Amino acid sequence: MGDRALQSGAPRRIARHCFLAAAVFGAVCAALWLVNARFPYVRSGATLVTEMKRGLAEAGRPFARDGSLRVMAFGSSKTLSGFIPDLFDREAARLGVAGVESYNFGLPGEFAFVEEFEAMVDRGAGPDVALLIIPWPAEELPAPSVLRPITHNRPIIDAVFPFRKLPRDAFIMATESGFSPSRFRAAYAESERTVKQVALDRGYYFIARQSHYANDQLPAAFTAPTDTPGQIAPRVIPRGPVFDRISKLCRERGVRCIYVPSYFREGQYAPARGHNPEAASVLAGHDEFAIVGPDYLLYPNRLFSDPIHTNRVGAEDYTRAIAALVAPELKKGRAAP
Amino acid sequence: MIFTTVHFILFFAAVFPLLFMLPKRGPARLWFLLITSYYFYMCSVPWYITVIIGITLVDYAAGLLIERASTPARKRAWLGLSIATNFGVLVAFKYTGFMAENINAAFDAGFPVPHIVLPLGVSFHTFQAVSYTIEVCRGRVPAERSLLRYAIYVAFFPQMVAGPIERPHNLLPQLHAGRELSFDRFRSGFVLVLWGAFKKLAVADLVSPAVNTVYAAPQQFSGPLLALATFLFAVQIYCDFSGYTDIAIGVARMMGFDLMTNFRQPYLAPSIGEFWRRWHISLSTWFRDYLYIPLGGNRVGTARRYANIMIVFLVSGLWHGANWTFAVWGGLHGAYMVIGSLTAGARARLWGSLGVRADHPALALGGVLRTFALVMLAWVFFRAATVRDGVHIVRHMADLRGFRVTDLFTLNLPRFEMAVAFTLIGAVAGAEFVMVRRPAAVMRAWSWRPARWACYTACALGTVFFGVFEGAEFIYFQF
Repeated sequence: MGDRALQSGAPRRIARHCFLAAAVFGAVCAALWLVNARFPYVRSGATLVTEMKRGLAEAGRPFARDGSLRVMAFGSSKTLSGFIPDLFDREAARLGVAGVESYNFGLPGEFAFVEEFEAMVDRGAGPDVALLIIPWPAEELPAPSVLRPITHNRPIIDAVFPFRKLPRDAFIMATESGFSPSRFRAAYAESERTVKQVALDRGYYFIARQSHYANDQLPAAFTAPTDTPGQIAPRVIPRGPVFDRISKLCRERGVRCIYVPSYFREGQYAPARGHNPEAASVLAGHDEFAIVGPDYLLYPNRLFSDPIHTNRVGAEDYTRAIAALVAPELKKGRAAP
Repeated sequence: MIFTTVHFILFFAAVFPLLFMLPKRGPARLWFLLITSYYFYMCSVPWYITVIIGITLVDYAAGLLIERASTPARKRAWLGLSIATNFGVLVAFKYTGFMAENINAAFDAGFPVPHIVLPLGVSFHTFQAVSYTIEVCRGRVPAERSLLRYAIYVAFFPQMVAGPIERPHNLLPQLHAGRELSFDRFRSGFVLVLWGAFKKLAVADLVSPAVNTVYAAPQQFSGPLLALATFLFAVQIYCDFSGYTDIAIGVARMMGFDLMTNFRQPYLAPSIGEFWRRWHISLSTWFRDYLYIPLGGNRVGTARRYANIMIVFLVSGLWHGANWTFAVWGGLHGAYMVIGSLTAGARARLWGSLGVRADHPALALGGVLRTFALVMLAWVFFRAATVRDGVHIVRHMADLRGFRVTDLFTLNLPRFEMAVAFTLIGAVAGAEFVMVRRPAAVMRAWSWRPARWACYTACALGTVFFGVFEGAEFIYFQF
């Protein structure tokens, strides 16, 4: 058989093998998809919390009471582990702002919250006051075009392969269980309870899996190589499409946004300035925004469970501090018609 | 456009069948290739396509004029025009800011320092274009009559932004012969694409946060972390660039084209000279053919030869980027070559006097480890933001003071990812080692279908599970 004759069957052979490859890979993926669906709590705490909160933003109701002043704290894992809604409500009441109902919308490992924020407001399930603890990304990806029809790959990959994190999460759960089936089952049940507890705690979550020190307390002498105790880390409020989206949403729907401080370890940075004129100037002329307090608060190591996140006691201190800072602004909100 | 994006998958899924549906005879396939290549390029900064079109027109005309020139002087004049145009583009976009900065620093001149966005892969396609006019001037290839074919030679999308830097005698004839759709070529190309994507997404991009964290502020990290980050960078740049090359060669092969080999397990090289015969082969042979040999090559005296080696490596360093760190990197490799050559005789005599055979396995292993250590040391300057940072890293890499195991958690690489990274690095190293040392066994295993399919599936699943799908660019795109 000549070369030409061999090549003439190439399209059919290529198509057959592509189909075969797709079938084999598809079968493996289907099996993994089934395992993933069958064991929904073989997930990291971060994934479970994110999935739960995103589901809430799409279809749930984070605020249960009618007539309450709804306050939602947006942010990253620092917010997640640092803001206790129940305590915030009580502190606000103690400070003269009655009827506050708050929710912690901190998303682990995420800076993006605008779509969830918009979704909740659109459904009438959003807050009256949003506490913004971290800045949003300065740049939004450009709108899709002929030259760039897909601007963000990961959501597509995550949607096509929802089991992508299954090996990671199963391995971590197995190692933490000492590869014991009974302890693995217990860890699985614990994950299920965690999700329920986060729902009960209105979004607050203590990141237990990152806490490796006795009593969930970072040693007093702990320092990280990235610490710069002689430098401050000023808050930068980037203007751009995201800022404009939030501003528009707040103006049109009457939501008030309050910038509140983040938190770090003592020694991680120098104490923040009491006032950040650069950040304030960005917000000048935007009555829908307010900025309170310094750029960040510093707490001793014993109030941290890992180099980044507070333990329960630290979260209580931080929540009280935030309540004290925003109470005057909340009173204004209460006074408004 | 970046190979490891959903956009490219969709692009290629459309381009591949359409290409072969077009009639084999006539210019339809060539026009299709050119349009798709220009679209591919325009997905970064669209208007830079004018630069590509400009150098294509100049070099196409220069090729014809060189061939028609009646005297060698005229040939050289047209060649000079071509080289000046290409390197002028390169200098204008890549080195203007660098030169202004250095003149300002040296003479306090106060020149404005422009911050120009570099056209994607400008160093690659200008070098490829120059190789064409030089080869025409040398009479080794005929000038290309078809502007369409020449335009594809400059802009062929699989390799236009980061190589391999093709030679006219390899790529142009392939554009003349009609390309056949072949199952074997499709399959082997597909395997290369799969392997390249795995190396890029699941290894290079996985370790990238740790490297970036340390190199962003090296003064804040202890010696072991500096050494670890440098090792991870050595892995990252290899998996990134060889991953890109594998995808480029694989995609071209699926479409019926053969591109140059660019990597041959460089980290298994027993000497620096051998390393350069295995790393970025299309660039090192470019410098050999068009700079080292014209400077006199090996036909000159020893001192002049060493000077030529240093010139070639310094220029190669600056080719990579307009920063003194790249010059130091190139200078280090030049120095390695010179010192290696100067001490070769003494080393041979030493091993001879100790009764150790030149091909002793321990010597080979020692050579590989020594070469890797030297290459890693030079990578410090390739990756560091400044020469000062590079010097700091080199000085403190072996300093164990102040290191705690818990510092590993400050590398921006969680424990599981770190474990996976080292496992996958081991898998890549093992695969490359076996391919070099046991090629027959690999071929035997590969001929067994279940083994082959298990490898495909493992590679694809490894990429899905551990890949970082943030559309990160390939490191060499910046050059």
